[in-house]
Amino acid sequence: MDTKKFTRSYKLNLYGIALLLFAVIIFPFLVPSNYFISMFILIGLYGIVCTGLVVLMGHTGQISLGHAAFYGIGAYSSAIVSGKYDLPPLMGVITGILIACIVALLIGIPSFKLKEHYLALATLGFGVIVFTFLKEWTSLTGGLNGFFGIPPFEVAGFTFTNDLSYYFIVWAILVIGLWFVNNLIHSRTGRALKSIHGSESAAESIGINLMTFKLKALIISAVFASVAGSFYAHYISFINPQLFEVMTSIVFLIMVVIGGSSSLWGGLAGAIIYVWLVELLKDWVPLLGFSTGGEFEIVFFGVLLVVLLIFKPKGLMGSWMEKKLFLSQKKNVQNKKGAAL
Amino acid sequence: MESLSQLMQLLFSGLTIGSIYALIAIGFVITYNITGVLNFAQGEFAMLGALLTISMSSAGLPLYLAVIVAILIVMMVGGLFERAAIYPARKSSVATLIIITIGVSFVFRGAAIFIWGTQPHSLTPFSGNTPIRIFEAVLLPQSLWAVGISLAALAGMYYFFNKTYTGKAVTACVMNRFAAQLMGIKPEKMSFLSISLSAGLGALAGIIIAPISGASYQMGLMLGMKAFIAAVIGGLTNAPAAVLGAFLIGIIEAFSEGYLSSGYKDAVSFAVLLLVLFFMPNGLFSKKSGKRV
Amino acid sequence: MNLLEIKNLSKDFGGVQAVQDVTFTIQEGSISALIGPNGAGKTTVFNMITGVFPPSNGTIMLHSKKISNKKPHQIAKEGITRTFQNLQLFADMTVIENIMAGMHLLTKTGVWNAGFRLPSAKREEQYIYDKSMQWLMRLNLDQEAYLPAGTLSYGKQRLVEIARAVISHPKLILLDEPMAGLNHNESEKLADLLLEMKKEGQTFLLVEHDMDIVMRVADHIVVLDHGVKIAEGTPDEIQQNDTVIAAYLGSEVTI
Repeated sequence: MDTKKFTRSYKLNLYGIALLLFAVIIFPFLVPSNYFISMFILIGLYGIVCTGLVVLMGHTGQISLGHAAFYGIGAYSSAIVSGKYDLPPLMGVITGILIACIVALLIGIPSFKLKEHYLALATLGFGVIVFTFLKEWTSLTGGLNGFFGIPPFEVAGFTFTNDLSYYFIVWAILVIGLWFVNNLIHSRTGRALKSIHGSESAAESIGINLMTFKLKALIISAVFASVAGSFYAHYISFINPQLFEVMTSIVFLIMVVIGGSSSLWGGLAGAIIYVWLVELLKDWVPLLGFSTGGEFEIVFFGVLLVVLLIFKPKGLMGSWMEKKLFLSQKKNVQNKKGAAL
Repeated sequence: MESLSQLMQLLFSGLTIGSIYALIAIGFVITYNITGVLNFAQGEFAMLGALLTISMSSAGLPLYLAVIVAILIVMMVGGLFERAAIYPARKSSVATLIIITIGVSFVFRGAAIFIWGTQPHSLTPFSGNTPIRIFEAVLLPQSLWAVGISLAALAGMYYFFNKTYTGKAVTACVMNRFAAQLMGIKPEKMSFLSISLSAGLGALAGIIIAPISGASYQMGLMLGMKAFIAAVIGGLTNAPAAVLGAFLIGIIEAFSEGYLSSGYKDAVSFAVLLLVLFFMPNGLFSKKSGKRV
Repeated sequence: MNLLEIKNLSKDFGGVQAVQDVTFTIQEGSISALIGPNGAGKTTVFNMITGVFPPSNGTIMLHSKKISNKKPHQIAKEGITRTFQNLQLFADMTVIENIMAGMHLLTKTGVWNAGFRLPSAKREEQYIYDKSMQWLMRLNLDQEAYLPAGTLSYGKQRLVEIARAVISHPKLILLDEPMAGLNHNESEKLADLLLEMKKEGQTFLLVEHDMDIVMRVADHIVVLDHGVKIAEGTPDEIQQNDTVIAAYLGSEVTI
């Protein structure tokens, strides 16, 4: 049977991922600027976190206000395992993943028994608690002074010392992450997650266990955030608790909303637009006569968030993809119907 | 005697901060029950109320007038917020509405930096600073003001909801939206009314706390979150329970600050939130608990 | 052979007796209908069978296995699926994805296999797709396969919902007012489809207000009034039952 049409959105995404991979490889040769490379490392890291969040928010319809904490868990796991105990950095990454999974289970199981907005509350509370521990457990984390001297990432004898090497590994992880999520959403598991978003009672009626599948989505997004956090720590080599505050969780949320949580590309698009807008505001705001204390940024993103959610609730990528995919298909149907008559 | 006086001291400060949380928490409960929105911008109303009062009183307005005008302005801001951001999105999912209120809180906070800058401001206490000594503990007059005004406001709310026509209409809307609609009560109007009322309560809370802990653009976030915890502890649907929850959180905070470390204060409150959410999702004071809703 | 046995089923909501001591059985390969005036407790019975809430009293047995007190997704696993009175499609998913989601219980690919698209996952995806497409073609919906389900006409959305419920080969399908919102023509077509599927061995239990359709498709009718079973039997028997006529005279529907 002809599956061409069905696999269309899957294939389109695959082409997109291939194109992205190509762009990632040639970018440093086209733009050999340290400024852009370091900016794109940051975009890549945010992109990983937000691609995970897309699975949780966009596909499963669950909202988290605490993903900075998972990001922080990854960063501090790597910092402590490789910086304090001199163990291989890869073990730090894995430790972060494991802790993130356990924490996601601890937060998820009780929250998913309750009404939908309780996950938002529980993750918010969890974010504050993690922040407090990072701040107060000074013997382990260095407290507010931060954690210094995180060694570079190292795997199979290769040490990641310069920006370019981090650029490549971060974007490689993001590309794999996008590929993974694309596979996932075009599968039984992905459809189960989307079903939960569509109608919980209908999802249950076809045998989907809401608890397990919501947990799967939460764990996937937590792991993505933790991995990004680990590489952030190795790249920057210095972290402090303020980087993982509640505000950071909300910034992740803003990126996903801007990009559009219903699209595979929403997380990455949101990360790019966010970072670009922040840079833009830094340049333009002083010209408008305001100081750059960040206040303009706050108002700007607040307004953007509200306006987008009221007028473009699917985000920029979501609306664009919808137009691209569904309109062309509607046309196909109409053409065929016309032909049949 | 030392420990008793410390105990009293902590209890006083717990009750003071608890009364502030109570005012904001009631706003949460009213908004949540009438509009179904968990309003994360609730704490920002307190910030706006406090800073507006400070500006007007330093501009020469008598304090009582500044307070009244500030509350009225914040109520208008609240109403505007409802019309501009909640009403157009009223059919959206819970998650979307939550994020919208987060966006609005950003707007308020940023606007506050524009107007008042990032420096903290202070408001002179309502009636001097001479401490009152009770049981070896020191009590600031402003604390009495805080608890007194909160209790008066709560009594006023009780009167409003149970004795006036408009108040009863709001209550009816909470109990049965559909039936209320049949009786000619417009839920849209109630949504507007409830949010601006909550904004007014929030403003009042901010004004009371300003002489004690100062006022700055970022005070709203934590105040809002703590009030939120109080409301959840009370079960989110019950105003008197939210008030009890607020005093409880205030006292827990004061004690964890006094006996543990001020750094752990926030974490302790949120740990209480998680424990309540997980083990008594209908609130501490609910008869039937653990039932899935 | 008895497929579903309901014994002394009762439900009380904080003192209000919604369903009281209801007993009936459903034969394999039959279409049964649950009828009664508004507020008779039909939906409450449905919700107990599908595990939305547990009965206060009584048992529900499927193939002699007790299924009361199970959760909705476990009931589905036991082989009972359903449709909803107010359509519950996954509106943002395409038509074919809705039906593919219905195959959840027949398939098993997990996060790992799916995420790395291992051969087993690919094979399974093809199998799910083929089977779903067969159903779409049977229902004449293949042209609309790639439209978001929410954009279809009401009648077609109904069909999608039924296809989603039937595709996992359930032992029993519960249809909650399947004819609601359909015009005469659409209702007749749906009735034909139900009879056709019955011939293939599918068992149905439906709640329905359209008496013409009920009399036409049902083999066995159970009548509820005020939470109590007042009659059961074949369509002919029910039409001549005095208690049933009396109960319906008191309400707006006439047989």
